[in-house]
Amino acid sequence: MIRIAAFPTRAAPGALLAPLVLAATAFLVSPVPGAAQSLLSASGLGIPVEAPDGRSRMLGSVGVALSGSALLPNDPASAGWSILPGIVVSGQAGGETFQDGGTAYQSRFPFLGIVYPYGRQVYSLSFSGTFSQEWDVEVDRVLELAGEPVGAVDRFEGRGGVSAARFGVARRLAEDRVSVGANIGSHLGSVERRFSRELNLDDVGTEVEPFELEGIWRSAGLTAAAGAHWDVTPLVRLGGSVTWSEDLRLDPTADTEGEVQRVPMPLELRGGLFATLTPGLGLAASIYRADWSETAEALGDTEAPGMVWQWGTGLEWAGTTVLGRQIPLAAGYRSRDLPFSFLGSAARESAFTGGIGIHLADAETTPMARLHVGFEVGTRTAGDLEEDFWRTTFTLRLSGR
Amino acid sequence: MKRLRITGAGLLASLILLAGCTEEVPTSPDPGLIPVEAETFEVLLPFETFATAFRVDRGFGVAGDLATVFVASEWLEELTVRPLFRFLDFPASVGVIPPGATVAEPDSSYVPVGGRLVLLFDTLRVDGSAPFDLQLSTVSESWDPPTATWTHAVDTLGDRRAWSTPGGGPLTPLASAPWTPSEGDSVILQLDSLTLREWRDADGSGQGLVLSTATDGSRLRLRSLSLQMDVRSEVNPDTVIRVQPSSREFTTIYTPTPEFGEGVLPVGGAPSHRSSFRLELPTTVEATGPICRGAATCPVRLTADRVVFAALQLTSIPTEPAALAPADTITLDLRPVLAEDLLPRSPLGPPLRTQGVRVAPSWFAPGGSASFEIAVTRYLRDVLRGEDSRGNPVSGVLSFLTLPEPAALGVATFAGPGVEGRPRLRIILTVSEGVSLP
Repeated sequence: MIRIAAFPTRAAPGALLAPLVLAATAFLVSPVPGAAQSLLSASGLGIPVEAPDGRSRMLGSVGVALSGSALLPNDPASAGWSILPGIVVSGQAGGETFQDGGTAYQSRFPFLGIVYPYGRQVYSLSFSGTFSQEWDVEVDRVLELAGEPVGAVDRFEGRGGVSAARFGVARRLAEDRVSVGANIGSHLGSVERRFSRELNLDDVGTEVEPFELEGIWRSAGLTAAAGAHWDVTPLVRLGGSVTWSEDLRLDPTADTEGEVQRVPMPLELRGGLFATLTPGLGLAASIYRADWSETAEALGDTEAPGMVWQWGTGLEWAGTTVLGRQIPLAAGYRSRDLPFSFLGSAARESAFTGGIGIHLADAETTPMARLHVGFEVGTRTAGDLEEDFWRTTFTLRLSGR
Repeated sequence: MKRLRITGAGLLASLILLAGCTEEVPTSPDPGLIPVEAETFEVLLPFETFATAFRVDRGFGVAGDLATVFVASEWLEELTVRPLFRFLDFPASVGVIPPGATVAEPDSSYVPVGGRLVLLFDTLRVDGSAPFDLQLSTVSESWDPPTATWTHAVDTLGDRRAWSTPGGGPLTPLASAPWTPSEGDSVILQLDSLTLREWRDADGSGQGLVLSTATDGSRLRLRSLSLQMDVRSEVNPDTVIRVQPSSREFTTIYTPTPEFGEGVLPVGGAPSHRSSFRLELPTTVEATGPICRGAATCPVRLTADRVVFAALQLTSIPTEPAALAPADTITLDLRPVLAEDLLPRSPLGPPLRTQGVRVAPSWFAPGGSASFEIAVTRYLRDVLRGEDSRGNPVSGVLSFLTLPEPAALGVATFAGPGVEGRPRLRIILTVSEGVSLP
């Protein structure tokens, strides 16, 4: 067991001030899901946001059963290993290259969380993305008005930022060989869709006004997760979680026509292990399963795959030090089905992953300040459509007494 | 402190990593991805289906404000135009240096010894056959510059006096001169000292001058006129000084007076005509095309958000009498009437077209006709909404006028209500059932 009293006193100023700086910065930006901006996000509610954590991303993990402590929205037991209050913020930058050579770039803050041990429990608050949707269509058309051709440009914007706010509790059991946790929260955010048609001034005349439509739906609905970690041996950790959500309620705002739409959400299962193979070398492997059939059916998506699988594995080498700082390195691979079809074809995503960590400040074995940067390079396919993507996810975790 | 610096550096590096990215949203050109059905179509509304309370008012501005002044006689066998004017504010004294002195002294007892009226014409735009016989005559009856017309010397509220003879009353010839444009643009009419002394000593309101041409079938553009008076000082009789009055009163009287019957939408003239009407838009319009799902026509609700373009279409007709057709390009203005009850003197709102709409004189000449349109999209949307973009109420009454007012002696005429070519409202609408979730 780590003895908190053994912390070097010189760590205190940085450990206390840095979270304040980060907290101030983090609250200036809202946690926006943006894990994967893609044309494929045009389908259904968008692309489900993966574990918004740099270390999970570098190991190709579905975000469960990593070694050490973490704060992950769908792995509530991971917070149980925390022994110090801390704040976690993640940011992402990524881009896509499409078949026609077009590109897109985005940057987002998909996760913000606070973890606070008190007594034997560890409490947490987090905001994280659930679905990401950001895509545009721009089409040049030639309309016929009174027998004359008239140029027009149709534009459609799809924006979805369904996220979730969660409160969690976790604790260690069985002489700290087991951690169990649960969280409950509510979906937040909105789905926004805009359409505009603009006629060509030269074809019509001056003072042409665009035709504009907009629909905004606020999302709501309970979500909860429960899970456990078990250190089978000091070298092997097994973990799993289950995430349940009630129907996602999409309420049209006052200016949006239509009724409340309820979309069933699947029961999501995650499982994984982390094994230390040799001193400094660890293996992470995880798997995800959920049946999205009812969700897709509610959205009229008849070509969706229904049962969705995701798996990933990676190796982490923690034996490197630079200037006395531990620099873990990782590489991995992951693959997943996307729950919604794109233009009638099932969609799939796979990526090679890697990354680097920097243990900026540790007090003995307790992380005080850690930065993990995960890189992903992959491909998404749906029928004939293929797009390449890259993504960088950084997660900064700061702890203090 | 070292840890603090390292932590800060990590945080800074992380934020720079994110800040360095430029947002570009994935964009597809595939129309199949647009989950919205929208149809755009055009409708043409005849005047009687969107407008009521058509009216024509005259009397805006005065002929004295015209930038272009004509002198005409029986132009196209109809139009006679005479500038009517008088000079005011002769100098009370002149500055003269007495013999042997070096400093000028004011002399209020100066004596006019002669003078001239200098006329400057536009030599490039002359209608008729030269030489033109120009005549300057004195007016014996008192007249009111803002209201004097061909028939009336005074035509103001509570005081309406006709000329004893239309066209300025009995005229006494004062000077005359022939003008041939090819010989120059100036005409000088010599004036005698007695006349000039009378003008100087008169109180101003009684005197007047009329410039006319005795050459029938002519129309000349007068660019300027000025009076030069030679005076001799009693302080130094050897010195002759040229002085000018500091102001004048001016108007143009002409015949015939334009009158328009039903079926004509006149704009302009001096004083100017305005044509006004109230927009009463239908709640639905008849659409054609795919939106009707196979039917020949179908009603579609007319709402502000559906209107993507709207324009008033006008068709010009030859002005009657032809001599009163615009001689130059004029600019039409279209403004909302802010208080319909106060028409014809209602205040007007800002112009719908900031620069106005320019129309060519050929459109109103005999045999000429042209159709054009004035875009009113934003205004029409405001009318349909009942308020403008700032939330202010919108008047549904519009007035056609010229910019400036008056702009010219000529009147632009358009086909009015009830006749072929009457105004139409062209509206392009886009209709959609709206945006929905997948």
